[in-house]
Formats: sequence, C-alpha cells, structure tokens
Amino acid sequence: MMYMPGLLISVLMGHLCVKILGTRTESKQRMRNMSPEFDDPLRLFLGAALGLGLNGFITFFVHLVFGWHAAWAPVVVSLAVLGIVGTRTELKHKIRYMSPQFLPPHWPGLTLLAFIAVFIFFEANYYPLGGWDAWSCWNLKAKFIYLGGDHWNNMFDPVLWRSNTHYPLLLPCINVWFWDLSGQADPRVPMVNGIVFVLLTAGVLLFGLYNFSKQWLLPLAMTAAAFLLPFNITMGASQYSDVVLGLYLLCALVCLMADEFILAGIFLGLLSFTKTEGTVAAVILAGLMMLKKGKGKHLFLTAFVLSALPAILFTLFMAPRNEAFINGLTSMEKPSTLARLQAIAVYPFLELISAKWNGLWLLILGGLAAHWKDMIEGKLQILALFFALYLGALLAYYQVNTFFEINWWLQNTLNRILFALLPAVMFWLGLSLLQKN
Amino acid sequence: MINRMHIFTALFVLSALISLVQLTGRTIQQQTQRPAMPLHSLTEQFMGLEKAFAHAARAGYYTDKNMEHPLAIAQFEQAQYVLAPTVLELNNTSLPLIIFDCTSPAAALAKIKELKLIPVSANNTGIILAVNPRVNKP
Repeated sequence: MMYMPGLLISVLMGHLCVKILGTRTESKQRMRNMSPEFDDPLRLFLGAALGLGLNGFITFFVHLVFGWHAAWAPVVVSLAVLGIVGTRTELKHKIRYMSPQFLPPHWPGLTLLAFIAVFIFFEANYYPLGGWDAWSCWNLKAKFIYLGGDHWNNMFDPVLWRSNTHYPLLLPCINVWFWDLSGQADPRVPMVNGIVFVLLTAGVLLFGLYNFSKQWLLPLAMTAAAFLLPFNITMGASQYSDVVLGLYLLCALVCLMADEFILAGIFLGLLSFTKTEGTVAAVILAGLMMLKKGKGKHLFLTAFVLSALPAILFTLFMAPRNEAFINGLTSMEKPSTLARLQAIAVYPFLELISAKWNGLWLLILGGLAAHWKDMIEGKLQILALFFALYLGALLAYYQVNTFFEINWWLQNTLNRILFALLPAVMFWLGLSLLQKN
Repeated sequence: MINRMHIFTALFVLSALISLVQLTGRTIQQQTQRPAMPLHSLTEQFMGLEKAFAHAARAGYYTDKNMEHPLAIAQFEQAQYVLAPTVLELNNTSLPLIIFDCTSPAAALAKIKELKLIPVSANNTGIILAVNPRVNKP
C-alpha cells in the first residue's frame, strides 16, 4: 500500500510550510513579547493537517479546475511543492526540520494519543465503509472524481440529491490524492485517513493546550475525556467530513491564539472547503478577525482569501443548488412555524444531556457558567463571539430550511455539529482555565 | 491549594475513566461477537457488477421495496457507491441497463417480463441485471 509514503509527503510538506509561514512572524513575536512559538509536536500536528489539506487543494485544482485527469499529476505537483518549500526552508532559515524534539518532554501526550489510536483503529476496522454519509456522500464523490474522468461532474446530477451535491469537496479530494498515488480506489484510504484526522485533532488539542501552558494534567484530562468518549470514537471512525471540519476549526483557533495570522488564515480557508457549515464558520471567524483591533489583519485576510479560493470557485461555478432546501419564510406548503421554533429551542438541551455524551457537555457548560468572565476576556473574546454567532447561524438555518421534518433533522445532524465543535470548545475552556491558573 | 482548574481536571479525568470503561467493554464485545451488520455490508451484493457498468454514464435501479425503509435506502445508496461513476436512477426502467433489487427473484423476473427486458445475469443475493433491447447500448 502506498499510503505511508503519501502520508510522509503530506506531513513533510505541511511541516515545512508551517516552519516557513510561522517563522516569518516569530522574530516579530519575540520583539513584541507575544504568544510563544509552537513546540515541535504541535508544529508537526499542525503541519500534517496543513499538508493533507494542501494535497486536497492540489487535487481540486489539477483534476477539477484544470481538468487534468492523469492520476500522477496531483502527486507530481505535491512533490514539486515539497521540493520548493524544502529548498526555501533549508536555505533561508537553516532549520533542523528533520529532527523535531519529541521525547522525553512530550511522552505523556504521545502515550495518550497511542492509547486513542488503538480504540479508533478497532472501531474503524469494525466499520470499514464508515457511516452512512461516508458511502452516500463523501466517498461517493471521491469515486466520481477519481473514476469519472471528464464526467466527474455527473456527481452533481439532481438524482443524487441524497448525496448533498452542494457540499464542498475537501475530504473527497484528499482521499483522491492518495488514490492517485496508489493507482486504485482503495477503500482502506478513507478509513485510514479517518483515523489520522482524529489523531491529528486530538494531537492539536493536547499539544495546543500544552503549548500555551507547559502543563500536562488538564490538557491530558480534557483530550482523554473528549477522544475516549465512545460516541466520539464512532463518529471519528465514520469517515465524515465533520471530523475534518473539527480539525481545521481547531487548527485555525490555535493559530489565532498564537498570533500566527498567516497560518490561521490558511486553516480557515481549508475549513471553508470542508462542509457548508465549515464555510459559514470560516466566514464568521474571518469577519470577527477583521473587526478586531490590532495588527496582522492584512496578512490574515490575504492568506484566508487565497486559501479559500477552492471554496469560492466551487461555490460560484461548480456547486449545484441545494436540492434539500425550502425557504420556510416564503413557502406556503412548508412554512417555518412556531412549533418548529419550539423544537429548535428545546432539542439542543436534550442533545446536550443525552447519555451518548457521558455528561461531557454538562461539564463544559458548568465550566462556562463558573468561568464565564475569563472565557470572554482578552484574546478569548473572539472565540466567545464566534461560538455564539456560529450556533445562532446554525439554529437559524434549522428554522428557515423546512425541507426536512425538524425532529428527525435535529436528531440526525445536531450531534455531528456538536461533535465537530467539541475540540474547539474544549480548547477555549482549557485555555481559559490554564491562563487563569 | 485546590483551585477551579484542579476541580475541572478531576472531573475531566473522571469523565475519561467512565468513557474508557465503556469503550473497552464495547471494543471487546465488537471483536468477540461480530454480528452481521446489514447496513454496513450491503455493498457485497453489488460487487462484480462494476465491469458491466464500465461505460455506462447512467443506469436504472428498480426495486419494489418500501423506499421509506432505511435498509432499502441504504441498499440503493450502497449500490450507487459501488457502481460510481455510473449514476443510478431509481425506478427508471427506460435506460439500457437496469438493476433489479426486489423482495424476491420471482418478483424481479415478473417485472422484467412485464417490461419486456432481457435478464442477463443474476447473483446469489437475488440482484438481477437486465438490458433494455429497445434503447441503444450506453
């Protein structure tokens, strides 16, 4: 299987990009006594997430924008990018990129990740095709892109409305990049990528919190609580794009809190191409960043717009209309009713206390209630505003779009939204607790 | 001195331990008693049909099952997944190639006869492939 070389290329490429884009602001940060630079493990995890995403972008541009369907093309482009960033990194910054420091100071975190890996591996093997949306949406699109040739856009056919044809394509494009490398549509690729994305999310949360505090106990406890939750393990092995959404949202927040504006912008661009909810989240966060006072906004905006190009091109020129949308505000047949609003107002609380979360959201809400002043102060203010606006936007969408029966829709989708938000919310709470301490 | 962070750390550790116990039990159960999971093994019924659909941009998928039932929808969607990039049109029998996935092979054959199609292959799970002689091949 060609998976491991592909993963290595992705990790190396992303790691070097993080080095280049991060180090350009490091000297300024030191001068201004700003946030600490990234530890090696955090840099590596962010780099791996970035590398995988960039390969997805390359696949999108090569196959879908330029219509070049040769399987080797995206891989060659990735290798060329790796060569360019490798040369620039070595010559300009003379860094030891091949010898990151992991042990001994980071062994507690790596041990926990290994532990999580065992469980997610068994779960992924138990559901080799992933969850329902994996075969009906995400991996189906990957097969159309990989096998469809010039007719790849048949996947937008209205008869495939169940496949959410309007959803962005980052996850399918990442999987196709690995298929291009291996020369076949190997179903193990989405499965293994699913495991990797979960471990990257856990790693970024754990080492992100450690990076800002140099404390292990709370980051370990929070990461274990989030990623050993049986429901999260199931969702993690589902091969859904919600996993990728959660990862890139968390990466963007970690970079924002570290004043790594270029990287934050790039991760938001990646986020915007994961799912429609990811696009909404990216736009809200970018908007809040632009309203915020302080420097780095131009760098952030440039990076965001450039990396959001796939999402922009897809939304403007490729995506079909959402077949599962009825505007309840104007529809006479399916109007947006007060009963619907009541269901939307009540159901989130039922979901938060659902047994599947083992009380984790209650614990988070308890933390929020006990600690709210610290969670909306200083740098964390932007996170508080983001979560409020994002949840507000989602709930408004539930109210406006009356295509689905609301109780069924909430039961089937709200848990995924919470799953994707959980790492970012944990980071927010953990950071406020650690900073206060 | 115990502060708020210590309390939350302890609560998160407790939450993680509860999850760990549940997860361990579930994983052991999954590994020791692997039940047939219909929703996750439907693709096998359509394996091998890919070659027949190699040059077909579209094909029909006829079923007499209740498409309100999740298992029937899952079966249709897994057929779509296996046969992609061919687009399957539910209950469209006017296309050159049609898959029949009926409640029984007899029901499928009766429908094929009624529509004056020609059955060309069947597998041991009751899936029948038929061609429509009145339209050009894809």
